[in-house]
Amino acid sequence: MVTAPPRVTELLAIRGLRVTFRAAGRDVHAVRGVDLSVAEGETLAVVGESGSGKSVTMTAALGLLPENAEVEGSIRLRDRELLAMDERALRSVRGAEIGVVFQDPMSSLNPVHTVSRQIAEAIRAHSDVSRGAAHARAVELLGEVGIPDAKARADDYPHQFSGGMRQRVMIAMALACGPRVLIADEPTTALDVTVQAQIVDLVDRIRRGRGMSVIWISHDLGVVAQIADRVTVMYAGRVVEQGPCADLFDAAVHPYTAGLLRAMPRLDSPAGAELEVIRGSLPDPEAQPEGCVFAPRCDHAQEECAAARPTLLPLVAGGGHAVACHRSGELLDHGRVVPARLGGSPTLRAGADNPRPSGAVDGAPAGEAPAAAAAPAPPPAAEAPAPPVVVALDDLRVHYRGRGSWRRSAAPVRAVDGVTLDLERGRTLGLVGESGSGKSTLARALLGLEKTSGGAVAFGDQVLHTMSAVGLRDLRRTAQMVFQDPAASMNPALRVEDVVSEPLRINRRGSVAEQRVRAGELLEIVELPRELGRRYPHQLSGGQRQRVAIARALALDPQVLVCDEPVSALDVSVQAQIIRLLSRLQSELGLSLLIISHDLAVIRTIAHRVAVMYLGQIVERGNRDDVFGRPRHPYTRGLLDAVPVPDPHRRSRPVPLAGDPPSPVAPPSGCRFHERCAFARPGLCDTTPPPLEEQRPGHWTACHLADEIAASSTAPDPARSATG
Amino acid sequence: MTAPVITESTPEPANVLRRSRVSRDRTRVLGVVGGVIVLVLVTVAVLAPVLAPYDPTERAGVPFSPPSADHLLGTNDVGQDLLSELIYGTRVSLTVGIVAAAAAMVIGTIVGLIGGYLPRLGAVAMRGVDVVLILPFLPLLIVLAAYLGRSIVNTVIIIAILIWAPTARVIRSQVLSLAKRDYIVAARSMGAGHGYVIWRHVLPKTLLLAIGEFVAATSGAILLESSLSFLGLGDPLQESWGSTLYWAQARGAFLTPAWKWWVLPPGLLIMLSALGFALLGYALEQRINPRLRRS
Repeated sequence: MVTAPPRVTELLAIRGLRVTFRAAGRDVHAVRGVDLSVAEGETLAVVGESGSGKSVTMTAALGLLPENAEVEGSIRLRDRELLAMDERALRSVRGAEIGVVFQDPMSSLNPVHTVSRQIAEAIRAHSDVSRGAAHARAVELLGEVGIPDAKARADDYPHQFSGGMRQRVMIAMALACGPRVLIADEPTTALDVTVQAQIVDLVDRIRRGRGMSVIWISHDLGVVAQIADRVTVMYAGRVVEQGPCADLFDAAVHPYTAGLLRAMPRLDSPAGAELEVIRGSLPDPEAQPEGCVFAPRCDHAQEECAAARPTLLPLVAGGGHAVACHRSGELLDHGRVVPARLGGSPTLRAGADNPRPSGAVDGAPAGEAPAAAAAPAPPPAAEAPAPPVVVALDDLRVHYRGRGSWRRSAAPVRAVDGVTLDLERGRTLGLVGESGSGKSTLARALLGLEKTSGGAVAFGDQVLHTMSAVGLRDLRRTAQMVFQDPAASMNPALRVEDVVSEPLRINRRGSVAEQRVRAGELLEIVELPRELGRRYPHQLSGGQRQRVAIARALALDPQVLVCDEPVSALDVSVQAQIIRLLSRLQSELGLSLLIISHDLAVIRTIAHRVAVMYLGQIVERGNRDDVFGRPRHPYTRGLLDAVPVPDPHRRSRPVPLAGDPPSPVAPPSGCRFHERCAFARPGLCDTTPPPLEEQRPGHWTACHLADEIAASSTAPDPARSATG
Repeated sequence: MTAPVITESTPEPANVLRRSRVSRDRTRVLGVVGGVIVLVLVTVAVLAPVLAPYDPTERAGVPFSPPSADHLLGTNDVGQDLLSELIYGTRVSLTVGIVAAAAAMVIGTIVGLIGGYLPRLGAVAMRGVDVVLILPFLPLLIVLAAYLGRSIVNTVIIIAILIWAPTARVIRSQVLSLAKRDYIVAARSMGAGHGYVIWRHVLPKTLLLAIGEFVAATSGAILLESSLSFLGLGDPLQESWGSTLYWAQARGAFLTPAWKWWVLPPGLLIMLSALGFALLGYALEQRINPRLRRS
């Protein structure tokens, strides 16, 4: 049993918690014995992948589990046992002593009431105050969480706020009764990086101001490193490691924690560095393993690991660092650098050119591609001739008709507004930007799924919108798409093999038997066993499903693969597997990849070239190392600064971009970014749109002041000037 | 309600029913009741020649005779056995109801698919649905029946024309939500045409819904058929429950003690069959319709 450091008092302590959901004769073991505690005034981060039981643990603390959940153990708030309380007593604890913020602020707020009314409701539920006083308090709270002009905005409805502002409202509501503990369950997962950074700063400031405790549940180690005092790592319903933030990130002992840290794409690693892959996937929640839950995926597992369950024991070094691993002593002795499997961890060759081998003919199974193609090609040299362009977008525009009244048509939504880009053979283009920047619309327009309003998409000398229906069909075979949510992109009623062979069926390639065989081959290409073809998509894990989606996209031997957020719905340990797979497929098949992501670290790991999109336009594009290493556009800089670095020693970062992206219905005049830009110069930036120019060889930037900004070493404080 | 709390090490199963399960059970009971009613009626219709004591067209006894051992529900004005008439009437009422509802389901599903899947044509189609929905039912029914003439086929056509619109709406809303799913976009990006997408991905998912709508619509169709026949606009050669009532009214049975065996039984049967199909349709809809289905 772990005891908290004696210097502070334990506020909320969970001991031996087990939660089992009983449904239809099947027991789902969501939490299999968790010990954790949070002290007064500290931030505890609970980290884990999906299915680790982190949210269930916190839901249990609030007494909000469904009625088929069986709970064992103890959850104490100060001296009171929460599990022994009846519903009425619990209700006085919830909100008043424990505040909660959930992931999706839109579904947690009632759309038909004003925000001030909802906050006032929370206040009046726990204290006997007048309506007027509660309203005044609500306005005060909205000001505290950084809603500009709180008094005027208090009577707005949730839909009138942006995502980040809504999350601020949720925080205000959670703070309404001055709780001692704030439980934040993935509060920034649904938000853009720039907004995430704002929320992280806000919560940390409020915690210090009020001296309350925060339990921050997250799967994102970067955010955790920025905010946590102590970290608890959960895996499959158990705590595997727990300790002060710095210790954990510097010297993770448990193989799972260490693996997670190495599997995570990060901005501060050397470019083109290897991503380690944690093999396998999360265990079956219905199983009750005897030994260590991580043993089946662990490189250091021995017989004892499978036989006996390791207990969470404090390390000899002390400092509150505890690990549940039989081999923690040995792992610690060898230092943190434990050699992984002898085969070496799989490497990424993202930085290499992977041209399609001329010998590979369309239709030949990918597995038969010449072996030479798999060998890493020499790194791109400046003088090397650029690979041929496969797809070229020329001044592409996609405008949606706005919804006006019946007499007057509204202004169009300019989702994509003049984008010129090209995709080179065998290379990867990464497209980044905040939500609403038009990335997905661009991808759909490229595939001919969206009607263009201007400009052209050209595949070689074929222009998309001039093509006949037959030509379009042919073209769709050359470019295929992988979606963000693999579960949603497959018809749940079809077997996996039917999902994979669907493109063949649609295009009438071969007999049913041949299609089956090809489906099996495709599954093997994406490293899945053929037998999986007989299953249904819902029986697969998230990573397996995304592999199936990739297999399907490869069925027609496309030259171009458009991946819209291919890994953002996946857990970190699985992300690395998919990134590695895409990279391998590219080198073997000579695919051109367009990868869309809001996650800059992912793009940096996999892309050769990068384009940054803001409000429907490209603001910067160039080679990966130029854009990430020497960003010239203030927006790119802001995005990069906002990405949390998984290093607790580097917390003093520049304050990220303020505000939210403006509406694409009425984009700002001049440079679209000038309202949020710290460097904007009145009279220039707000009147003249900057052209996208090749300001450095191969590095295009749309900014009037890029040279000056690069020259000035002392950047102004973006937070102060962004609002002015 | 006690929280399932175990503080130390005394595991004890939490025996609590989820609230939604209670209401699901109630729905199931209603569905079973409806199903039994429908099953009995269908059996009666199929086995009519076996069950009926007399041929309904034959003069089996003295006209206007009250119930007796020979004629359990008495006879009508020409001496035909009323019980036999009702048993054979089940055939007509159910056939008209089911065929009309099936036709309405087909029309409604097609219009719903178009309305949900093709935005331009769909907008036009849905305005058509709106028009049908606001038509005054009974007057139109009478006008159409009088215009088209009295035959069982016309009755089916008239009823189908009137009741397909709600089905179209339900199907359309389902198609609208399906059409935005990623896997439909995925199929389109693979080069699939509209026909393929509708046939392979959209139709299978709307068919169940359409069947639920069909059962519910049958109830309405039976009521409409009875109304038409009662007004004397049904097929004069096919005795249904409605036409039994029509003759009862025409011969003044509503005002004499004969109402107990001449008017009440067909009325109750109409009510019962409408109820049976409505309950079954309700239970099916609760199971099938994603908008009504809880968690």
